Formats: sequence, structure tokens, C-alpha cells
Amino acid sequence: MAQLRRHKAEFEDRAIRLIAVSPSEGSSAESVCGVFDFPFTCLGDPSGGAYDAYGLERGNLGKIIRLRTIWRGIQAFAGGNRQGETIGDRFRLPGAFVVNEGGELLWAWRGRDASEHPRAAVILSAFDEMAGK
Amino acid sequence: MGGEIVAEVGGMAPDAMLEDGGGKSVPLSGFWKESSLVLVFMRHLG
Repeated sequence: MAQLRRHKAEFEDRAIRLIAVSPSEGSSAESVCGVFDFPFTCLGDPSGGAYDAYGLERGNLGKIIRLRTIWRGIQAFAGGNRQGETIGDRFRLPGAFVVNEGGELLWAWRGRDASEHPRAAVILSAFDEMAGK
Repeated sequence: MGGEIVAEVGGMAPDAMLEDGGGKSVPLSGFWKESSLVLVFMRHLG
């Protein structure tokens, strides 16, 4: 969340609305976003229906706890990032999608395990490429 | 919404229902009608 927040101005410059979805109740999503001062729209998907519809699978222990996820966790910790209490379905894998005003899906990224997170720079680069910038 | 719809690039984005902070269901299409969207599905919050 912190790295997305750092790119807030770049999303605004492109008139992109960023919606963060969590596998939890909407009230939990809004509450945690407030704690982290996350400047985007935060919504919940307690049933997991949206995750399913966008092809984001529920991982198993092998995708949640593996050498790469542990190593990336250490790197994140060393970089000053701290994880708070986990809220929601711990087994949901992440993803990011770009949708235009007509509802067309322009770009999709799906995490393969728990260590992968959608990077703001990658999302912005994909958006620019589609916009012909 | 069940799990049978899988989003494909170039097709229509699934109009999933999400839940706002007040517990109200909101369709994603209500947002993309206003502007382009980046949907970020988090693994969890925290």
C-alpha cells in the first residue's frame, strides 16, 4: 500500500481512479485504509466473488509460505515496511487490472504467489503504453 | 457473483459487486463510467 500511496500524484495526473479491493468486509477495508492514510477508494469483497471473476485464485500454503515470500518479506522489512494485522482471507492472491470508461479490460496482472504485489511503476507504465504516451 | 466469470484482456471487465465502508453493495461499473480505473486486488490489508 505504501508504494501505491507514494505514486498518488502520478495516478491523479493521468485522471486514473485507483480502487483497492481487499478480501474482507467493506468496513474493515475502509478502516485499515484510514489507518495507513491510503488516499484511494477502498472496498471490500467478503465473498471473494470479485476475486473469482477476475481470475484471482485462492492460494495454498505452498503459495503463501515459500522461500521467495520469506526473502521478499525480509527485504520489505529491511526497507522499513511493516505489516499490521492481517484482515481478510489470507489465501487470496493479488492482482491489478486497468479498465477504461467503456468497461473494457485493457490490462491484467495476476500474482503467482504471496510475495508478488502490483507495483505502481508497472501499472503506470502499462497505462502509459496503452494511452500511447 | 460466482466464480465462473474470468476477466480477459480485450473483453468487458466483470461488473462485480463490492462492499463500501457502510456495508452497501456497489457495482464496479458505477466507477468506470466516471473515469478509467486501476483495480488493485490486495492479498490482504495490513
